[in-house]
Amino acid sequence: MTTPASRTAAQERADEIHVFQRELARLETEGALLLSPEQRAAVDAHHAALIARFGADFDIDRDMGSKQLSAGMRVASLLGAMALSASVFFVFYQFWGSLTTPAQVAILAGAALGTFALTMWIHSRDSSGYFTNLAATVAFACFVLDLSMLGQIFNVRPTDAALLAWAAVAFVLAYGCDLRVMLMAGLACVFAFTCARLASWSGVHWVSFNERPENFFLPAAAAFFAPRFIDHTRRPAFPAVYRLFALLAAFLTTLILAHWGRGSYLPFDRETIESAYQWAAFVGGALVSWLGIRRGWRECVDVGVTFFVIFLYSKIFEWWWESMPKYLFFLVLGLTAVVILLVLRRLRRSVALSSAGVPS
Amino acid sequence: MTRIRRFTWIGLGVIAVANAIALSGAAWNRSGEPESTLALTDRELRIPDSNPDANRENTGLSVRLEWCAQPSRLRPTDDDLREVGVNCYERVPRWFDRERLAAFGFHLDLAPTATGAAEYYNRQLPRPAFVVLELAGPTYQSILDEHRALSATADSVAAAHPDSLSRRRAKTARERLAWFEGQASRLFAVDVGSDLGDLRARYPDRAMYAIVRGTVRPRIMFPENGIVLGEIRELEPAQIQVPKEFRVAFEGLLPRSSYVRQKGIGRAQNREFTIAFGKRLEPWIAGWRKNPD
Repeated sequence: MTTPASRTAAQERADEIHVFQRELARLETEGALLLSPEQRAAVDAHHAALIARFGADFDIDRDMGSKQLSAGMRVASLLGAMALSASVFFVFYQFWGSLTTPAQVAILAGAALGTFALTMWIHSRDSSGYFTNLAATVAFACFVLDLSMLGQIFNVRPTDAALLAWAAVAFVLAYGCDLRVMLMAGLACVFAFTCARLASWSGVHWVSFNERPENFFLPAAAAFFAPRFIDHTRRPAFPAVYRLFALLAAFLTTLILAHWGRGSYLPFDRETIESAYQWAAFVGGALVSWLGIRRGWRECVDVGVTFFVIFLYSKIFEWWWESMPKYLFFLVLGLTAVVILLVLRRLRRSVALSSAGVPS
Repeated sequence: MTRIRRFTWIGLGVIAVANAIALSGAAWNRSGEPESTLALTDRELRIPDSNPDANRENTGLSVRLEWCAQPSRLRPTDDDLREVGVNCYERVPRWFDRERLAAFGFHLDLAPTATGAAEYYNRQLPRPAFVVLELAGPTYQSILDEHRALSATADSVAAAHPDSLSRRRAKTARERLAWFEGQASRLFAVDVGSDLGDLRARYPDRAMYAIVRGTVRPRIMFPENGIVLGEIRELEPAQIQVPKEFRVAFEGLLPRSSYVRQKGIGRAQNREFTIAFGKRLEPWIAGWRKNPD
């Protein structure tokens, strides 16, 4: 019996078992498949043992009711993490004026080290992951506060190197505790650091990196292809996070430049730049959706279709909002949505046929 | 070693190393002789409005350097002289010319009067620079002399033509002179450059001239005349933290918003603060005393 590498893998296996059991019952009812009582008992016993072991080792959701409760726990964990992190910041700001400099330094470093160690200890005992997620967010917030406040206390000139340190701790928490939120935090820090470095290498002050959104394309491309070079056997959910983050960064950048050509590096006039990015967005959205369908990357399809529709609607607004009567404008929008649905349905049919080996 | 233990040691190591680098960098900045040391009063150190009295959620105390620059107009008018030292918002000094801008690598080839020139210049992103701050030096003295001349002229006009307008103008000129002599900041930005050694060689007096880091960018001023000047956007760091042991020195000093300053509220408390700038040009408060003057 192979042990799943992570809670995600164990949950996927458990879900597949439940689906199999439901389908098996249907097949038996329809007379398509009949297992002997011994075979049925063996299969049921095997599945029961698996689910029991996964429940003990990974605290998975064993049924639909558990799944729904888990969704609530995830929300509670996220909100609790954000609230506790904010509390950490405000607590320090409330009292730091009455502390000497050595005391401030000791509390900041101690809090960062202590909360990190506590997170790893909780992770060793928390099979559900919700408490680990909460503790990891607080630990990350403490480390961000640590370096930020040291900079303020000693009047240090702002530096992008802090982003690298924050990214490193976020990645350690992500890969050490199987936390997608920490992975996103780490990617955000790496993106910001890369853009800041690109800006400073071009002679510009690094803080202004966000005034040239094109800086985000390079780290987005790197993040998209990174899963090809990193083994994620133990973390099967992570490659989707890399791709999702990369696509969001790339498409949001394109969206911004499609309406703010002034922020581009390109030496053309604003209208040309904005028009070029709008067309790039259409083509990019379609390409990403196609790629997602081919590779079975659901996040690519979701992001590609979403931004394709956003760009299409924004172009329609730009062309016709002023010149068309409002009823006609919204009619065009609605009909556009119908056309998109028809196209996607056709695409879905052709994908289903090709999966079944039938020429579409 | 288990995976959890390995990740724990890696994470703790990263946090410890990051803190060590930050603290050792700060220690190195403050080691040895400071790069410069200025004796500033609360005329040059401004408490931002967002401090303990205004914001109970943050008990930290910080101050900002209140620095000024000579107006960018080529021929100063009465209005410019009145503005200098009143709010010190001028950030495009007259001496920050094309030659200095070119040294930072800005693109200056498009004529300022050409179509699209404003966007061409304003699109360029700020670049890091070294800024020379002069304390109570020739720049402050020359502006003080101009204020005195202005006040003397206004008094003469009021004596010769004692109508209400002349008397009012003379009174205003006297008030502004008094304010500039006793309340206005004496700290002026007088030069910028990309080479610290070169600037220090030109301004060797480390008790009058502090060199700090900042950011600059080009701005089109007076497009009809085709003038491009440089703007000093901000200094780094923007604020100086006040350690607990020096907080007593700032008691009784009000946040110095422009309104407060213009109305002369919260007169300078005659305290002198020693601000040292270290090897990384990062400042700290090294001491304070009551100014016997």
